[in-house]
Amino acid sequence: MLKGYAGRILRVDLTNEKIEKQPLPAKMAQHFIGGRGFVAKTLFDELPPNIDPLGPDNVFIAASGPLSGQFMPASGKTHFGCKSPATGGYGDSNLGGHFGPALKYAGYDMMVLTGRAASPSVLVIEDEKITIRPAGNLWGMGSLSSETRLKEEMGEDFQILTIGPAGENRVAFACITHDFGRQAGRVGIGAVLGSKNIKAIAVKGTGSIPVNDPRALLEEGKRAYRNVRAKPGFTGWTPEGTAGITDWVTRVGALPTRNFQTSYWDQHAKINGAAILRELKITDKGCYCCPTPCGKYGKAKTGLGEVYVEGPEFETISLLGSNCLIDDISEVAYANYVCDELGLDTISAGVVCSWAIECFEKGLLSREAIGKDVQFGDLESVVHLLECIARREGIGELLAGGVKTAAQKLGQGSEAFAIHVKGLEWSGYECRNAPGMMLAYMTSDVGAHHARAWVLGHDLAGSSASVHDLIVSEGTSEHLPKSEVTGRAAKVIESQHLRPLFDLLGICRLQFMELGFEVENYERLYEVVTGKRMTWEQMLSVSERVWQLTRSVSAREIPGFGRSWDYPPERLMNDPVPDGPNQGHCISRREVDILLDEYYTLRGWDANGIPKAETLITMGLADVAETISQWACHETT
Amino acid sequence: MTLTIHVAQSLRGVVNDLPKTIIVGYTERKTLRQLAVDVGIPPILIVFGMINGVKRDLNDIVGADAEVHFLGTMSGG
Amino acid sequence: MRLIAKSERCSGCGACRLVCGLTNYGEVNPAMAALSIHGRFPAPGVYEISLCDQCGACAEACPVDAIEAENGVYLVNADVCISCGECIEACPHGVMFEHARLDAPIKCTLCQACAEICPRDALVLEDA
Repeated sequence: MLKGYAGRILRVDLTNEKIEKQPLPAKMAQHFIGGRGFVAKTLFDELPPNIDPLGPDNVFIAASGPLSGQFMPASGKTHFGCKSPATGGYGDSNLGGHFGPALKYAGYDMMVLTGRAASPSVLVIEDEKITIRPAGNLWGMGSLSSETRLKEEMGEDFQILTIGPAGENRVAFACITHDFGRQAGRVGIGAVLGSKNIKAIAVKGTGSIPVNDPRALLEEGKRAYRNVRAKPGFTGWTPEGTAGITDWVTRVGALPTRNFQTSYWDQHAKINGAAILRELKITDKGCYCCPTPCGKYGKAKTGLGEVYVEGPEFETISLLGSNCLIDDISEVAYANYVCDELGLDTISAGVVCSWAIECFEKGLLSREAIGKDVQFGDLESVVHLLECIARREGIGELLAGGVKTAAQKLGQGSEAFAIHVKGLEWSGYECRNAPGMMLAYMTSDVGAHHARAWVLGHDLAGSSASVHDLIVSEGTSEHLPKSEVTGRAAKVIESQHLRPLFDLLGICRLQFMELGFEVENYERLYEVVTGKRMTWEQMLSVSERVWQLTRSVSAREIPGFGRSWDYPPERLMNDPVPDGPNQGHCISRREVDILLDEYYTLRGWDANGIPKAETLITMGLADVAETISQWACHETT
Repeated sequence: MTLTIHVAQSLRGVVNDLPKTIIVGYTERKTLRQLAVDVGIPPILIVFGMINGVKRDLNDIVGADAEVHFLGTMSGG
Repeated sequence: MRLIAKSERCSGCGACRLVCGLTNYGEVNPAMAALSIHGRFPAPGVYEISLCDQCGACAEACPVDAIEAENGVYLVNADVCISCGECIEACPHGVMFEHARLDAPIKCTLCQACAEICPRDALVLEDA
């Protein structure tokens, strides 16, 4: 019997209302660990060929890992997967909160939904009892409102996922919302649920997770909590959460501003962590078993109304704040709330809105097309666009496909400033002078997202070899020298194995990344729950295997997939940063190719960025190696 | 005065040969920024500094017998 | 010794419930916990902790005297309990729980594990 896992996969065929509970194969746990590993493996094995991501044949996966739900810090993560509506390739999305553990207590490590329900429905999982019931008048309701209604009806013991009108209308950047403010934000995962006519999933689990040594887990868990509490960053980090990095990101010239036109904004103090403390915060709200709750739940008062909202996180501050020139934290929080209720990813929404506003400024989109005049720095403009997008009304029909599709349809040069990679909108760090981070965004497997690799520190350390900071005079910023482009790939690759490892294990990486919680703790906790010994290096090898697999999934799913899909947008290649610490810098097409060449070589991929068969075999993916030549665009020389 | 300076892993992973904890003696008051330079940390890498467990600006002056923490680059969420 | 809730410090993590079940039943199962956390969302946006204050209402309600105080802590004797559920109904704080796999109700034993573990100091022990 597998220890540490619930031991079962729940399969729901929504078309035929068929429920199946299968044992979790031990080999799957051994070779892919859990969470993102299960997602990648299942997508490769089970996605039918050439399907529409928003059609009934897409596969929706929710998976936890062996450390999810266990007595240890931050064991609350869930990982979702699908064929991505944003890119057409591999898609996954991570969620904090309490859902994954609840699914595990109910007896399932993974849930796989296929087909489409005949009408809008709610999937209810209560231990062994699985029901699909009509969504009734929940359909059309906001995410937060739906969760409120379901909690009232079903009780607080249920953990609930909801989509909003954006997911129902299959917006390519629709998200899943959970626990009144957590999201599985990226890749349009909410649209996949919407396309399956699933409005909500409610889980209650009263079972136990079988673990190898419960007594040892009790002691290890207690030790882990004592350890984290004793860490130097413990008290300083929590009050502002991720918003606490806003000032620093600005200082290093990495803050997306005005649709990524520039990377420094002198109004950052109005939308930083201190602003949240001053104007919004009621509660530090956390995920399951987390000692450092990063959620800031509060109340925002604006001219458009008063709302309760969890946030804004840094990403939202970046893309709906500085990127749209909204210089009021309450207004950023309001926009955050609108996204949450409509069920829109705040990152993609911010990029799409800023693109649309720039198009209006340039006369590429008219007042008639948009429905009103829009401008940067105007909350009403942003809210109008968000409402149109979620309901696919007016300009929303163009924008709902994401910024890549919108720019392709509009043309007229608008593609140059559509900020995405592979069709996924860029997240909160501008990196024209951070080549490692640029490479991270280019090669992230889901599109332009920072979750996979984080190397901004290495980029800066390279460009600030001297320990002496430049003297800053009031009102100006430090000017950074241009970063070296070569020698970046190794650190990016290392990070691409390390960060997603936490998504395999089913836990949050914050305690490790930000507070320095040691890897030996994770090794010991893994051993006491599973009864198996796995070193951190061995776990990283599994993460590497998963990386090769996710690349292979995209290579199979996207016709013509290859090097050209890894390029950044033209704005970031052609337009030097106009001001701030990185004034004058940008990355050239030639430098992008240098980055990719180095990366592909280290990855064991060909010049088109396709994994070579021998690389896949070395990674324990012989089954992928067998077929890759049939469907991948290998380089032709 | 004696100061204890803790350097987070997020900095030690980026700048080589930085110790976890440094105890230094000073006769004059310095800012967090100056302390960072003294111990070999480029201030540009410090996301925030803390004095006695409270997040502070890098230009804030450090008092006697304080405990200082320097935290490195992080990504948001 | 008594357990006090400082709900204003609670972040809703639920580690207390998990360690309660693990300590008292040796199982990774928060449904075996003797306290509960209520999220009040969307408004007012806070958590409230419900826990046992050893008031004795359960003991009074028990028809077979299966619940008795020991050093101020009311404990359920599972061998005597007849699973009638009267104590669960009688509890004024809603912190007597039943679980399908357990014959006797779940009740706080003041083992102190939750207070020991709470990373927010939302559960504290005070002299009675």
